[in-house]
Amino acid sequence: MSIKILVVDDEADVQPLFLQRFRKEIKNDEISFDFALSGEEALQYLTGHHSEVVLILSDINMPGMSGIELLSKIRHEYSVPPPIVMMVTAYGDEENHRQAMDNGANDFLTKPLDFNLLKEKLKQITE
Amino acid sequence: MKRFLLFLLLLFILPATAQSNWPQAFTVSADSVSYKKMDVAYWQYLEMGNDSITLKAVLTPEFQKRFKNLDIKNSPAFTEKQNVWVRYKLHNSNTYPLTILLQAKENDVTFFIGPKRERFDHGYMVPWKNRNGLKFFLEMVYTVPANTEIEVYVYLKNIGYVDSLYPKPGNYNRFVEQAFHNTPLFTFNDAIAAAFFGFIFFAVIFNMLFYYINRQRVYLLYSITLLFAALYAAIDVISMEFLRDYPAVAEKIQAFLILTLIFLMIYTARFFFNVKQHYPRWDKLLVWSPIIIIGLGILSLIYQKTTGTVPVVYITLAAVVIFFTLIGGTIIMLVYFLRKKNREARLFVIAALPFLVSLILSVFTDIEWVVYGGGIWTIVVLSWGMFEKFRNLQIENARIALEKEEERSRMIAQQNELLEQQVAARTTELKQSLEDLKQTQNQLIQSEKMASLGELTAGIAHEIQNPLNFVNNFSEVSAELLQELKEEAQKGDIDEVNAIADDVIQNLEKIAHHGRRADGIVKGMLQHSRTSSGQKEATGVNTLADEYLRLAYHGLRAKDKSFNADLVTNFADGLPKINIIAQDVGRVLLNLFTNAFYATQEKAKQSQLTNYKPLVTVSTKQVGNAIEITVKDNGTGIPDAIKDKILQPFFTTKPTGEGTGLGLSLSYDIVVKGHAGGINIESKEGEGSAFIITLPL
Repeated sequence: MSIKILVVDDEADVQPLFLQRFRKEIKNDEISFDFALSGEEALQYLTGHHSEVVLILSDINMPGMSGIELLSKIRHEYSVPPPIVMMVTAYGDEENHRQAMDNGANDFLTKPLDFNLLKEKLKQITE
Repeated sequence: MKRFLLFLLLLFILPATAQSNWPQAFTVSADSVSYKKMDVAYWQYLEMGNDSITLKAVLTPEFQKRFKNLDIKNSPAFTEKQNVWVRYKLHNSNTYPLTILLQAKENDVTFFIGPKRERFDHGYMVPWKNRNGLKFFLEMVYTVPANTEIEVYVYLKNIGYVDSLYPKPGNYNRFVEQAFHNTPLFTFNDAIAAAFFGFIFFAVIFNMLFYYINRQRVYLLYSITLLFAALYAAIDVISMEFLRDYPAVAEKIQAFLILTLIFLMIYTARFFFNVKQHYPRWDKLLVWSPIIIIGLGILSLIYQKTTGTVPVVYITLAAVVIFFTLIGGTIIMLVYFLRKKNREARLFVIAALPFLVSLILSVFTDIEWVVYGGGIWTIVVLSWGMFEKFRNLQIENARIALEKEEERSRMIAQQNELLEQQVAARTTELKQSLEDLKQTQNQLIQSEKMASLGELTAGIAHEIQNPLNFVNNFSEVSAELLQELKEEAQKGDIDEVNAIADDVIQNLEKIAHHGRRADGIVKGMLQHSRTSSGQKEATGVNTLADEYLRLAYHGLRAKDKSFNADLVTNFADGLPKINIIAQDVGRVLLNLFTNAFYATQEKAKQSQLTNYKPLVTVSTKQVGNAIEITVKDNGTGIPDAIKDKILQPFFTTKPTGEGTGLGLSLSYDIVVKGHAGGINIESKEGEGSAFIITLPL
């Protein structure tokens, strides 16, 4: 069974990167990706595909709605089943981390993204 | 019978003579002139003490009995002044009437003469108009008929000396002859006396003038002394002219004059010799002694009126002792001064000696003018001395004034110098302050640059981080893809190989793109950090605006993670490149963006509960020959009150330490002065602001 991951990042190039990094997993139908370029887009996507998405990977610093806001909205509006939300940011400081955790993030990753670490974490989730 | 008649007559006469007991009549002769005292045998007196008794009472037998002759050997001592009656008989044995004089040189004398007891008053203290006979000479005039004997009663008031009782008859014709016939109306004495007065008044006026000019007390004292001396010398004339009917007043004035004169003379001497400075103790005596003398003088006047002569004698003696002590002391002082070669003393001696000699001379000779001459000499010499003193004083004063003036100008010069030094010092300080201020200003401008640089770096770090991530990730993934490609090639799956190759090519392009992106950012940063030596170069405004918008946004985000804002860009297509100093205009944009974000952030803080969405819009367009860049926000807006001020240097609404207040001011300089452009501000408080930059093509 494949897990669906929503990646939210204002950088468009994140998309080919993820697709290529998880090329094998996609091929083997273990993971499927969807992308949103902003928090607003992500929320819109979630209204249609809420139940499909298992994991959300969101950047924090985005124009418009920030990652933290998105997280807070998800936590308030989509309680069942609660998606796993991992925050990704270039500013790996304490304050960001605390805010993310306070708003109910499951994990906190820093850029540059360590894809091997991410894969490990995903493996833990699927098992 | 005749004998009987004679006896009877004798009988009548005898008791009469026995009862009255008159002394033998004094025979006045035609040639008796002088005031030879009548021998005691010819007259009798009656002491009355303080009682005053009328003639009527005296004529009663009771008092008649008490008249007695003066006993020369046991002459009574008049310890107190008293009233005395004297009686005598005068006999004119000539065959013609004889006019005689009866001397009345006493205070108050009343004569009752002849069978009718005719009354005549005379004496010092009797007013002129009431006097009888030769008023001036105090001689009573009476004509005794031929071959007649007359009785004379004399009432003498306030007699202090027995000597005053002696009657002194004289011959009128002889006296008048002597007094007037052989005497010229004006004498040399009169001329000298007039000159004396003239000199005195001259000296008075001069010394007053000196005093008026230099305010030295000695001149005032000296002139007053002279004035009093003149008055004293003239007192007889004055009394005769104006006060002859008021002898009591004249007497008091005379006493006052002499006492004042003593006082003034001593005080003048004090000041003239400057005794206080030379002999302070002697000076103290000089201060008090004249006052004592005056006191004694007043006392003696009182006693003279009321009680007897003895206290008056003692008082006068005391005053005289003091006076001579003073004179003695003065002589000793003069000697001391002379030995010291004191100018004043020498002058004084020269002045006073002839006068003293003249006084002594006047005692022994009859030459009256000697005293006046001596007085004139004294006054002239002393006045000359005073004039000398005055002149020296004037010279000295002028010298002192000159010295003062010199001192003053020296002081002024000194103060000027001081002032100049102070001015120089202040100028240096001011220059230093100006230097410091310039330095501070430069530092502030620098720190403003650094502040915006600081804002940039956070943004830049983020901006670089992203492309670097892509470069790293895409290169890593490309390596993986190439591994796969190899495997697929071995398998011979050409389609797959091609697909992977396409991906790798795409990745390499992305790597290159992100590399360039990072490169651009770094270049931008370097540009910004460089000081504005900038050359103008053709620059795409859209790119510049976008770049700095992102930088500003990330800069702010780096500082405040919770902040978020919508960024909207409205860039006009096909704008021509314009010649600008990119980093300068970039800095202006950065400033405007930072302000815009700050404004929205502030508003977000104020309206936490409402549904406020921060929005910053940047738009560009061409307007005629210029390009307009508008940075708009929906933040707090600018209050009208400070709209005029926001472009001023150091004006800031930010809390202390957060803003330098130079951002907009520098922006204004860059746009208006550096690029001949303009900055327009449209703002509404609470709704937002728009900064419109116009840059000419």
